[in-house]
Amino acid sequence: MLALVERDTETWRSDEPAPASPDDLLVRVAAGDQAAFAELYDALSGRVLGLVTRLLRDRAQSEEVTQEVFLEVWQQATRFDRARGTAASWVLTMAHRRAVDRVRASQASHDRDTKIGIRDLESGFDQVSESVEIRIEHERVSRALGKLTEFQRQAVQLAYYGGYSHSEMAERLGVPIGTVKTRLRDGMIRLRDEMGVTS
Amino acid sequence: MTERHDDPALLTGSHALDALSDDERALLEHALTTAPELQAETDSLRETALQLAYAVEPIEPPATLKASLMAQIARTPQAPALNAAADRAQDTAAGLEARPTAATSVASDEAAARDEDLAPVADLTTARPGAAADTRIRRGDGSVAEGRAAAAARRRWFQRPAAALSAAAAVAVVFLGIGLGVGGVIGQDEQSGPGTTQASGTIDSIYAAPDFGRTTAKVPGGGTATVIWSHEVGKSAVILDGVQSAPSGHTYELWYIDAEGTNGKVNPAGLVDAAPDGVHTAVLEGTLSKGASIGMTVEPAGGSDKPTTTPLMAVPTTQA
Repeated sequence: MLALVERDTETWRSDEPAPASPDDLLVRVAAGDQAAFAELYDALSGRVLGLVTRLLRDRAQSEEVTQEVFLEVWQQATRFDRARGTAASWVLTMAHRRAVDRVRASQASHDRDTKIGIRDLESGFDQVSESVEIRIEHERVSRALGKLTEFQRQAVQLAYYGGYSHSEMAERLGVPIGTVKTRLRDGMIRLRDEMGVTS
Repeated sequence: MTERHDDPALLTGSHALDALSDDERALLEHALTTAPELQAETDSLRETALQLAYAVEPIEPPATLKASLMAQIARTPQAPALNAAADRAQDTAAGLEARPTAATSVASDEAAARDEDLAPVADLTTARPGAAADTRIRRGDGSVAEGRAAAAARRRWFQRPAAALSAAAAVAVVFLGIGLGVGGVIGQDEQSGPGTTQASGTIDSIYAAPDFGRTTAKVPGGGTATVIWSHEVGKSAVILDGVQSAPSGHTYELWYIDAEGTNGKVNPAGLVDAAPDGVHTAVLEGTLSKGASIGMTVEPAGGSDKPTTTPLMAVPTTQA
């Protein structure tokens, strides 16, 4: 039984000597390759569900959104443009967009407002990860966020991890919408420069 | 500091964080077509926002999710590749997702893709009647946060997890959508007790409450009972869908069962009838106390002071 599984695995691997990158997989998915889709899913689904759950909190809804995201990946893979970013970025961008749509329109929005205060949203970021890779990312992002002013950091986190819109944030923070926009833009530019993101 | 408050150049950070309304996004994306600098800033900030995504702890989905996805894609057609120009336009929208504000050259394509997208989902999770309407709602109103109570409740209701969304829920939505304020529609059953006369208004306020809760339970013999409640409103309601009528000379009776530790009292909360091919809704009489459960039994016509049979269902009103 074990031997059989191993042989299967080897046969599979002989076609794909090294684990294919998500980018390569996505190109194959665009050609209708379902096995590539399965691999891509294995590579990215944890990140997608993690991100979506961060916004929605509710696990059932988050899994539903994750499913929608990957179905969209399947359908829209033909439109993925490698020149414009990585497959992981593409998928996570879609995931965030969908999670925000959902959190603003759904039950999760009121859960978020009633159950989760701003402080929770922020402190949630300090969770300690078991994965070294994620811990390093945490560390990097935390350090960069630490360079923002408190107002900028709060605005960026509310927007990205809370899914708050301009107007919601303005109301929540008791500042004009223009101030929210400025904080978000200045905060993101600062974050970009701190993290050395080039694009 | 000469920037106007609606200057699209101010919107790049918000765009990267998906904090824009549809109108604002349209404003920025229009500006991007003629401002390469702004495009560069937008791209770099979007890339920066992704760093925030990479810092989030992954959660491995259950194996069933993959299995159902694999089954779904096997019968879901892929979108045809777009030409380069349209591709750019769509990428500018950054999510590659249907957006009313996307370039017109791709709009119809996207709409088609969106429909394809939804159909199999609805197909797979049979209890997803809200899927199509959900999209329409999101498309139709750019500012989701506008918040009419009923509309908000409807939207929330539509978008509850598929697994828990029963047919009862779907029909209840229709009721809420068209029948609010018409007590006769919901309380078409005269036996439903005094609670039903204000059913629509009370149900509306439950749905609109910040601590809105809901559970659907299967009823022995067929059908479902959906219980909705709000402690803030202090009320709850039961929606029976496809539940058999009570045996001749009997009725269904609702109960508030107080939390153990307070006094564990069981209080009659009104009568409700049912029909196998219909939906019956009743607001429970009395006040929902903290930690109380909601029960339903079969009782002799006219009801009892205390339950005399085993509850068909008992639902705690703690948040799921």
